[in-house]
Amino acid sequence: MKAETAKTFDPNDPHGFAELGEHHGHHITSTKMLITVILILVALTGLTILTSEAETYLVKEMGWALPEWVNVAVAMSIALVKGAFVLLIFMALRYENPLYSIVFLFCMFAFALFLGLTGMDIDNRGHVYPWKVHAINAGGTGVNMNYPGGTIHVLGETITLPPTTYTGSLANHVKEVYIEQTGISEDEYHRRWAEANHIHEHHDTLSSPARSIARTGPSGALDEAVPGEHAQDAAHSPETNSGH
Amino acid sequence: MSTIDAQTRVSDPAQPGWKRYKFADHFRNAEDEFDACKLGFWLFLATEVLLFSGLFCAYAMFRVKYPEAFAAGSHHLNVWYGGTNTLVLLASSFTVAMAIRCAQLNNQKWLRINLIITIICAFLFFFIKLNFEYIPKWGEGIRPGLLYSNPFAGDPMEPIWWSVYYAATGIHALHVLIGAGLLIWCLVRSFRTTQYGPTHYTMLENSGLYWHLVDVIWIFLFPLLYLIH
Repeated sequence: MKAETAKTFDPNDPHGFAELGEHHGHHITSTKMLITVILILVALTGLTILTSEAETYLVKEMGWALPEWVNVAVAMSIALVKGAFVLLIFMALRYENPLYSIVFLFCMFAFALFLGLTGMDIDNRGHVYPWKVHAINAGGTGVNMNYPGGTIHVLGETITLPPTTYTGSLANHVKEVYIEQTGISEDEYHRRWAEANHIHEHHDTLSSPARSIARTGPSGALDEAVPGEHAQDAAHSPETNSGH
Repeated sequence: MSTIDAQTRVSDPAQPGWKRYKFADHFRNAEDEFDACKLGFWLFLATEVLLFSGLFCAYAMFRVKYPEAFAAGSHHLNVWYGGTNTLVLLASSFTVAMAIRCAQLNNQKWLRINLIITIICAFLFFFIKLNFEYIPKWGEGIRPGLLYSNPFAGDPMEPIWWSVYYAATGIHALHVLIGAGLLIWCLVRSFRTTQYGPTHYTMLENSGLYWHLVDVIWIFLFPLLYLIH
């Protein structure tokens, strides 16, 4: 082996790095490659907008029963391809030391952990609450608020928030305050609501802002209850479970 | 080249900055310094990705819990502003890649032109975001958190969507401004000392990586916020 051969000691290279070989220099990406990639990225941006519009059209105008995950899957697949092009070519991961790619892939692994563990937590809270009813509060539902009030300066505007206490959602609270302050009827509110949401001759009944226009969405919520009924959701309310 | 050589090299003011640049004493050569800087910057980019991972995670969890609220909120966003901003960022990503290529080939004129285009794109992105999206929405009472005061919410849980929206796009917009600042700094150094050339362009390379990352984040934010109904 060459390593066994005695070498003169070089004080400027005590660890013998010079033997590891020369650097191959930086990779210079060709203009042709960069232009090809930017054109692909622009085309994919157009494609993702187009597919999204087409899906909306097929569902709303043609009445197609597209599975709800199609929208998410198509948009995310295109985004992944676009992201990969930027990372591999523009950020040159394809040509560089694989160590940088490993650093990036570690992030993706961490992201998968975040998603997986948080998802498991959210998914299984219903099982935990009945046992933990005296130990934890079922927070994060956004359905009640007790705020002492305060002043906030933002974008050159001074906003004074009055002390706020409500049960139900913030949106419903704001709606009730609005109706109370303007003194309009429920029907007038619905007319203004439809106008603000650009719904003119829609076949949906506008009985409640909770009943929004028909839309596609991801698979059903983990909670079976409609959002407005969260306040009464037995599985999430410590009070109803305290009898256990 | 030995360390002694590097320390005793005379710096000639007539030479461009990238030729005068001396790597730090504890590096074997300029290449090693470049690689070490770049690895350090990739580790920093990893923390940035983890920061945005938290936001994407919040998005995913709230979306699974309140899909109607997310659909109602997404309905308020204009896909053409989002799409224009996507193209603006993609174009700037291309020009910054070209700027680095110009540095590698010692094409100082086009290095600067590409940097200027990138910086203009950065501010154009921020202008579109602020002027056509944040300010009109703020006026309608569509604001984050407890500031939400729009009485015509499409869904009782819509304020949650807007909190996620403002947090994600706000932090992204902050990164756009920081990236623009880095690139302006590069441009100033390029004009003052012709700092970047074939043997030394570390700061330009890392600023470029930062800018590409801002672009990658937006590539994912755009469909999540604007396209998925």
